[in-house]
Amino acid sequence: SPSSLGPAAMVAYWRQAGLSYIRYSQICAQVVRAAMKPQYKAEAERAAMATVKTLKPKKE
Amino acid sequence: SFYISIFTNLILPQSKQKRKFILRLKSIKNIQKITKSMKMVSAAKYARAERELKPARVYGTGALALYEKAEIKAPEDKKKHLLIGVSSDRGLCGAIHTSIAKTLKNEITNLSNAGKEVMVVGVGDKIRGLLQRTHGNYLLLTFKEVGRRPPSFGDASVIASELLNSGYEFDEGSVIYNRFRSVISYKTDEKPIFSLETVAGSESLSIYDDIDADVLRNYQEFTLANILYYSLKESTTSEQSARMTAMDNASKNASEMIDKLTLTFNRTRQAVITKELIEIISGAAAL
Repeated sequence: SPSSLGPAAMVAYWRQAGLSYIRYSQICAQVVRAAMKPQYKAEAERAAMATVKTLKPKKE
Repeated sequence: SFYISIFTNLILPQSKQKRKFILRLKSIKNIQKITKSMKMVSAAKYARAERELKPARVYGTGALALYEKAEIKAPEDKKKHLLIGVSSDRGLCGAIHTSIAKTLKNEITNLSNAGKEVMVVGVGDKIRGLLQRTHGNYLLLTFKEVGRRPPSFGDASVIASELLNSGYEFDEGSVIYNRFRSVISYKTDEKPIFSLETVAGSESLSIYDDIDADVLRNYQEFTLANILYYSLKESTTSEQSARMTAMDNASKNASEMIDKLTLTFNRTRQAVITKELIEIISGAAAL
């Protein structure tokens, strides 16, 4: 785990908080989109929408 | 249809036959209309998918560049393998789903025979359907609602996150998808994915500057999302072009059937009229 690395290791604050890089970049992108001008914002939010659903197989 | 009405009015004893015939003709014409409209819809979706594929390819080739340049290979003794089959939920697109399922089944057999542990992730309900009966115990996760809307990076992120949180610590894996070549051709392709330990343990990585465990871990997670995004984009474009082709063939077959049926219909109609005429004439001659 990252917190078990030596003192010289540069572990990002978000990693220490338990976020993965994917989640971190998603949040950053959300912030950027929220800061966009209205005419570009709607288009960007539409393009970024995720529609996939997960299905975990039932354990017999 | 003027002839159809004459036929129905004059020749009553064959009414059951001709009704069946007319119904059949009507149903084939309806099917042809449906397949034609499906082709138009697919053509529009294909145009959009191909347009969005061009910038998306950069993400995939960029992410894979490190693996290729550093020639990263998993050591032979590594046991845990992951297969990700990328397809969609909807059918009527030719051999799109079956080619992915076939490749997956072959890979499962090969890897199991080599003594490796294999798990499969299906992106798209069709993969689950094709694999569940015979290889159901290899299915780790399935994703549905794929194919309804064009895939976004958000979709790839969801899939990548679920994979990383699944608890299955794979050493290496492959993404199996349909790579788009042209409107009429696509090819089932395979791209590698590696675990953090495999990449970190690779000797050639020492030539790169400023790589520590944290950077590598971030890069690995992001690469997984990138490769999935790339394969999703390629997959949808291939699927829409295949559906266009399949629906076009279906419409052509339907027209062929309509022509053949109309010909036999007219021939039958003319034969019956001729027979009636002969009966009338021979009857008159007997008087």
